[in-house]
Parts: sequence; C-alpha cells; structure tokens
Amino acid sequence: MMREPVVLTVTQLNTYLKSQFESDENLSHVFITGEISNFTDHYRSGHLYFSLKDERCVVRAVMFARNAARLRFRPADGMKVLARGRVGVYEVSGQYQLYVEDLQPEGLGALNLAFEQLKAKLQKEGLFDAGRKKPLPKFPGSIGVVTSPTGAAVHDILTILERRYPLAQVVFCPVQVQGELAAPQIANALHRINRLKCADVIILGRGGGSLEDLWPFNEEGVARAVADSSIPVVSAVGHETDFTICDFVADLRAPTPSAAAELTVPDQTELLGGIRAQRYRLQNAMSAKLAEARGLLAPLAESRALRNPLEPVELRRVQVDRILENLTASVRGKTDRAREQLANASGRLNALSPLAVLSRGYAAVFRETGETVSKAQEVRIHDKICVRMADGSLACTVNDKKSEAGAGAYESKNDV
Amino acid sequence: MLMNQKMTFEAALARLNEIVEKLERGDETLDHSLKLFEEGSALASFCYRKLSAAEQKIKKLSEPEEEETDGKN
Repeated sequence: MMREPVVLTVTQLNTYLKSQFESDENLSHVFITGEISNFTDHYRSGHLYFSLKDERCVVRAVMFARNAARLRFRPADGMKVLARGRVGVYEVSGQYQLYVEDLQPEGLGALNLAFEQLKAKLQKEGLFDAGRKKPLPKFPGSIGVVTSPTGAAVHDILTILERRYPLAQVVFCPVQVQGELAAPQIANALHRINRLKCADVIILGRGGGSLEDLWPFNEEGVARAVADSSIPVVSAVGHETDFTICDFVADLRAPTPSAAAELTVPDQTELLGGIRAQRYRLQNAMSAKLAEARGLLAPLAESRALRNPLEPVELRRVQVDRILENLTASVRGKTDRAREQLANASGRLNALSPLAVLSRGYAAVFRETGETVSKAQEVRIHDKICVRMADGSLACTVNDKKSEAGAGAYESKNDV
Repeated sequence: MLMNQKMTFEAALARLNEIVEKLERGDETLDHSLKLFEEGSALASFCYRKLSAAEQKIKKLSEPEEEETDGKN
C-alpha cells in the first residue's frame, strides 16, 4: 500500500532534523580534534564562531559566551584543538554544527598557552617596558600588603617589615590568592589602595603552589590592575623559579614574599649605623673647625699685646714717674735756693735791725702815736715821748731841748 | 632651630647628611658651624629616637561596604 506523500514546510524539515540529531546519543557528547579556521569573536555577544577542519573536511562550530568566558587562552586560526560538545542543527539555516562547551589546545596545556598568549599580548602593549617601571621609595611611610591572611607569606612579610623598618605603617589588604574569586579581589585591592592613596609601595604576593594555584597572578585583570597602579608594586609570587604575568608587569619582581619585604624597606640596623657614622663625622668636622679657629687665634693670643695688655700702661707710668721725679727735684732745688736766699736776706735784715743797734746801747724815740722821732726839733717841751731801749721802753716827758752843734737851728719857741 | 617633631625620618636624615657635607667642607663661619653642629646633633638624636621608638602599626584595610560583591555571582 502506497503511503500518501507528506508535504513538509522547510521549518518542519529543519525542526525534524534537529530533533533527530538531539535524540542521537552519539552526537550529544563528542570530542572532536581539528584545526581552527575562520575564527570570529563576536564582541557584542561574546559568542565565538569558527570552523574545525582536518585534511579533507570541515565542520562549523559555535561556542556560546557563557562557555567562552571560561577559556583561559584565546583560540586563533591554525590552532590545533580538542573540542568537547555536541552536534546539533541550526534550524534557520538547516546547517548542522558543533556546539562547543570546552576547548583545549593540543600539545601545550591550556594554562601554559594562556600564559604565553597573555604575556605576548601585554608585552606588545608595552606593559613590561623598563621605562614604565616606577622606582621604589627609599623610605616608605606606609606599605600596602596584598596577600592571603592565612598563608605563610603574610607572616614572613610582616616579620621582616617589623624587624627591618618598624617606622613604616603597614596597610594589610587580605584577599584570596587562589580560586575563582582571587583575581577580582586582588585587582580590587590594588584599585582600592590607589584610590585611598594609603600606601607608598605595595607588596603583592603569595607563597608557592602549583601553576593552577598561582593562576590568579596570570590573569589579565590582575596584570592590568598592577599596570594601572600609580603606586609602585613589588610582585612576590611563589618561589624563586615561579614567574607570573604579574611579575613582568610589576615595578619590581621579588623571588619570594620575604625577599619582597627586604627589598621594600631599608634596614634599621644599617640606618642606625649610618646615623652613628654621620654623628661621628659631624663631631670630627666640628673639632676640625674648632681646631682651625684655635689655630687662627693662637698667634694672636701669643702676641705681646694680648699676653701683657698692661705693658703700654706700665711704660707710660714709668715715664710719668720719671717726669714727676724730675719735677720734684726741680721744685725742691728751687725752694732750697729760695730758702737759702731767705736765710741770707733775713741775716742781712737782722744786721740792719734797729733792735740790734739798741742792743749796743742806743735808744729810739717815738711819739705817743708810735711815729719815730729822729730830730730834737720834732718834739716840743712837755710832749710825751717813748724811749725804746733793748730791754724795754721808757715813757718820758720832754723837759728841755738843746740843739747840738752842727745839727742845724731849732725853734726856741719850743722851749718852755 | 628648623627641626620639629613632625619632621619625617627621611627629611631629618636628608638634612643631617646635608649638614655633615656642609660642615666637612669647612667653609662656614665658626658661628654658623656651631649652629649647624647643634642642629646636626639634634637631628641625629631625633633619627635615633624615631627608629628605636618605632613600633610597627598595622592597619587592616577590610572589605569595603559597597563594591567587591560584584565579583562572581
């Protein structure tokens, strides 16, 4: 019996095929190996479109955004990959395609590839350039520490900061350093410290671990936060042999968290030694200066003028003494001569004294009034006169007058 | 004198070094040398004191109130 031909719409056909594909268990979980070509990153949606091909054939593939976001490397044309997913039909075009859920690069591990890719990308942008590296402050006042609050790293860092340079304040920003939340937390902490300007230098790090453990430090978000930091960042991730993208972008890479702490602050023991040395130099320089001043002073102090400042005075005093002596001598000579002259004169005077004549028996005659009478005619009869002799005087009255021959005439009228 | 207790360790050390250089050059007057010496000695003591008295202060920058919750949800 012939079946009636069934007429389908295109949509019905495509829908049918789609359901056929989806009901096939072989197609709902596949691993396909191939080389990527025609890779398109649909920026708006985040979906990835590409083809997988081998030597003979090609198949279209799509990776939706929610799956693509989990990729740690960036797919590119020519890359050999292993894709996991399912095969389905896109109804609109009737095209069957591979719906990729996960993609692994062949050969290198996905993480290694991602590392190399991000490294190459940031390097091309110049984020590793030596010219971008900021110098660390010599004496940081505040040190930002971004690491896990539970690891050994934080203990090592704080111990060394305390021992070497307790002068600085530590601003500790606890973050997860592994797992999904680590990268956004770290990037956030860096931004926050920058925004608050609460540190002069930042130590970012964690202790050792597997590549997977250290992965947050290879994430682009962390690398960009480090690059954007206007505060110098010292990166200290894992052990000496571990290199992360963060190390390349940081202003300084320290081999370990302990080393980071040592590189970030000066050592107070050395500083104290330095200050001691400076104080010593200070004292030496001052002593030298004083010695120099003393050297200038010494010859002056030795000079006669300062050693015997009274000398000129003494000299003058001697001169004065001598002059005074001369003066006295000359004055004394003068008085002596005067005294001699006086003696001489008084001797002569004495010789002329009427009293001396009296002592030889002469007498002198005075009026009552004291005037001398040297001529008989100067007195009249009855006048009272005084006769002075060597040993006394006589009060007399004139009784008579006689004139002496050769003595000239006298007045007889005076006779009584 | 220029010094005060708010001076940073760094500034004090820089000034001390400057004074030592100046004094060692020896071309200052004696008066000024003495002043510099006095200041230098004070600065050295200040640096000494600051270092030996220092006790590290650790401030914890805890999770901020807003942001950060937008991490992964």
